[in-house]
Amino acid sequence: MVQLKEVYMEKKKLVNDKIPRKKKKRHKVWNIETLITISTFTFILLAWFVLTELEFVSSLIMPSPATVLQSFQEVITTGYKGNSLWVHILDSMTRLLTGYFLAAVLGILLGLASGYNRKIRAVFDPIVEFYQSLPPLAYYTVLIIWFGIGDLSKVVLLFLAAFAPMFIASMSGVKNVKTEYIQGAYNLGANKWQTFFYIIFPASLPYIFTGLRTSMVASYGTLVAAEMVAGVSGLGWMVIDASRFMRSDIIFMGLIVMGIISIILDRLLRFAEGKIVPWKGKD
Amino acid sequence: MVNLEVKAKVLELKDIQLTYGTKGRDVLALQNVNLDIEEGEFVSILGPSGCGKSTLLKIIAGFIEPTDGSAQIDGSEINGIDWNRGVVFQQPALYPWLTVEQNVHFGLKMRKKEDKETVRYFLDKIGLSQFMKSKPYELSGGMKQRAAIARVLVNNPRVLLMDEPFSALDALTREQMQNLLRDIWRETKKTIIFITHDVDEALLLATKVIVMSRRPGRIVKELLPTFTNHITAEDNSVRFTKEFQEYREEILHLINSQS
Ligand SMILES: Nc1ncnc2c1ncn2[C@@H]1O[C@H](COP(=O)(O)OP(=O)(O)OP(=O)(O)O)[C@@H](O)[C@H]1O
Ligand SMILES: [Mg+2]
Repeated sequence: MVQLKEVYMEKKKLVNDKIPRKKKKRHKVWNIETLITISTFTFILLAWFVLTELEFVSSLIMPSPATVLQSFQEVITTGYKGNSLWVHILDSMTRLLTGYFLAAVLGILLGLASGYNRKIRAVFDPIVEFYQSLPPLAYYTVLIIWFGIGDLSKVVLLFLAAFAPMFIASMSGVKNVKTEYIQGAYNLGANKWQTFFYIIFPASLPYIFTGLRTSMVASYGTLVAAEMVAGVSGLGWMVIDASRFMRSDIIFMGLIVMGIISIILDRLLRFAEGKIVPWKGKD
Repeated sequence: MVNLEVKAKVLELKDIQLTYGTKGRDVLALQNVNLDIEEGEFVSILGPSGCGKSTLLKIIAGFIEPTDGSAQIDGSEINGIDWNRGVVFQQPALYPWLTVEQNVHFGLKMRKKEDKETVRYFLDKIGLSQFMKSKPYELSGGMKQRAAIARVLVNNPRVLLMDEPFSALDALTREQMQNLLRDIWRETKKTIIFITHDVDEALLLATKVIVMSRRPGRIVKELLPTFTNHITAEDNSVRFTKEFQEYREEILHLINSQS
């Protein structure tokens, strides 16, 4: 029993010792976690290389890293079916960001208003609740009939896909503002509008950022799917078109590019979050 | 010494009753509460847990309305929240997106009375000048509570309402905060209503101690200790006097006989 306690104390001491040290290490790039991540990826690459090199699997099912890299170069320089990779990325990003920004602005505004005012909530909440339960591709059909098969219907689709999570997050942000924050503001002499702008809005920012990140995931996924269903350009179209011609090297390359873009977008949002909401999780 | 000065009545509570209605089950929290508070008094409210102390403070602050009876400040009915009745909560709810200085300045800014001088003065008084550019989450518990007090004081409210403001602090910090509050009270002559569950704290600070009964809360005793006037930075020996012990025992007896 005593021994156990000692072991426990020893462990506790170790943990306690580690805390300050860890903080110092934070600035270093080469901490142990980064090394583990890099090793993992190296391992996956290596396995991929070996599997394809030894021709365990046919190059149709899994192209070798070298072929993928080659097709990457090819698509950047000569392009895929007439358009360079950059054009496809640009097309996809234009659609995505147009829909996303419109959704962010409107979703935040209406979400905040709905969180604050029951009457406004009574208008928008049921609508959002209904359509957000539908898979976006289901109502895409209607949007195509209304707005044509071009970019407009896609932008509207992405707008709708991004709007719901944005709206819901902003609304719950307002609902979750601490009562003491609001009472305190009135108690210090703020009026209703001041309380909304100076207290409720900034206090909701952590939720708003969660919403921004969730809607990015939602609209990105919807974008790729929509381009696959009805597109003539963009990353989604490129991948689905390549699959029709059994070009698995292009498919793999496309998936990797999609993944990297998605990571970059999320990192940008997280960076902004760290700058704008440095208190998240600290109060 | 006989005090012939006629003091103005700041606060008058008459037959206050409060019932919380929660899902069909009514909770009678306060019953027949009568209380007069004069200008410059330091009033401490003691009582068993759940007896309605916070409820009483919330009525005075204007957060809730009494079910029955009247609560008046300077002769007019209390109506809603007002900066003239500044509240310090148990947990200092400072705004984490503002610096300490901006937090303290908040009330003046909202009231369009911007005045950095006053803010500096109070930051200096509570010893946080060095930390005015810090964010609240970078401060210790005691520092946060000091900032929360300063934030209310810059408004120069008529009454200062405090709900167990020091109960989350360690003993040493608590004593420092008590001395700080006493100094502020002496200097500003503010009327203070201070809820605590610490009998010593009440006796060391207050000029009027109110003891409440178990729920439904009523006032069972008003005492008028003077210990606070005899305490200086160097000397707090009054707490070891027989008189202090007697007060202490009387209050403890009153509270314990409730439960
Ligand atoms: N919002 C509420 N709804 C319903 N009942 C409540 C509410 N707030 C308080 N009460 C009840 O009213 C009574 C008084 O509560 P109050 O918070 O005023 O007590 P208190 O004296 O401040 O207690 P403590 O010393 O523990 O802080 C309690 O029995 C409590 O359960
Ligand atoms: Mg209480």
